Amino acid sequence: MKEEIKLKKTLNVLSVCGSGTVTSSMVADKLKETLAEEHNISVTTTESRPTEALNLAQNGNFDFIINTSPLPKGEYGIPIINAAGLLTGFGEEEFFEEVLQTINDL
Amino acid sequence: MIQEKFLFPKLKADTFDEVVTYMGNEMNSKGYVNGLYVNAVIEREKKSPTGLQIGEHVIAIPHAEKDYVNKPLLSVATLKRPIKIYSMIQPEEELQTQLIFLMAVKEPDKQVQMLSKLMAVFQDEELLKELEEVISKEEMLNILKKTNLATVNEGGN
Repeated sequence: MKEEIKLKKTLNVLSVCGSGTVTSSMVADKLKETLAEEHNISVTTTESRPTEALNLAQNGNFDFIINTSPLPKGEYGIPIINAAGLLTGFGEEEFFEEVLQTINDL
Repeated sequence: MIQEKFLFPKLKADTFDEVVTYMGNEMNSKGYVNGLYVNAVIEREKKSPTGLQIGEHVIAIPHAEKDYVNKPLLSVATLKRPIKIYSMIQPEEELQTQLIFLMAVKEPDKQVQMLSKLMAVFQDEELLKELEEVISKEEMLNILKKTNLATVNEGGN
């Protein structure tokens, strides 16, 4: 039963980049597209700046964070996955492995 | 999204600010971005640098928030000599780049197609190599045309 609920759930992901718009949208779209097409996992994303991320992570309903710019230190309370590989194309596979592992562990 | 007049092969510049000012002023003069765009890009870069190491190449993808953009555009410059920039992923890391993709993005959430095509361009090492070698705007456009970016009009106009 629990498994079923998990599968139907839409994941909430916080996507963080320097300006909170362009780069975070790029990696967020790639994440959404790949998870939907290859793994049938539905994701909604929220884009933010590094300075807003801690507050959002602590107060929002996010499952995990992906980031292309470094995050300020803090207790985020959810997994943080570096999305640099998505942006550069180097380490893209490892990125998705980490994402899938994280989703499994949620 | 891409127009020949915003392609600048073998530009001479010594600093990042100089390159962005030159490219951004051209964009501003044709109404793609407002008068605050150049400064916004330069300030943004200081806080969150945009240098990316793509295999053997280093590119910079400077941009500003959408408030400064009137119409989406990608301006591309290659440089005669590399300039210093910093890494997006590790901002304290200094990089040298000769390839600048200055982006004017209006509505990132609505320009999904454009952003994913842009990302594919950045990641295409063969294309980056070709871009670095060309000396005319026309050649540069021909290379970029292969990416379909030139035909993307999503969110434009």
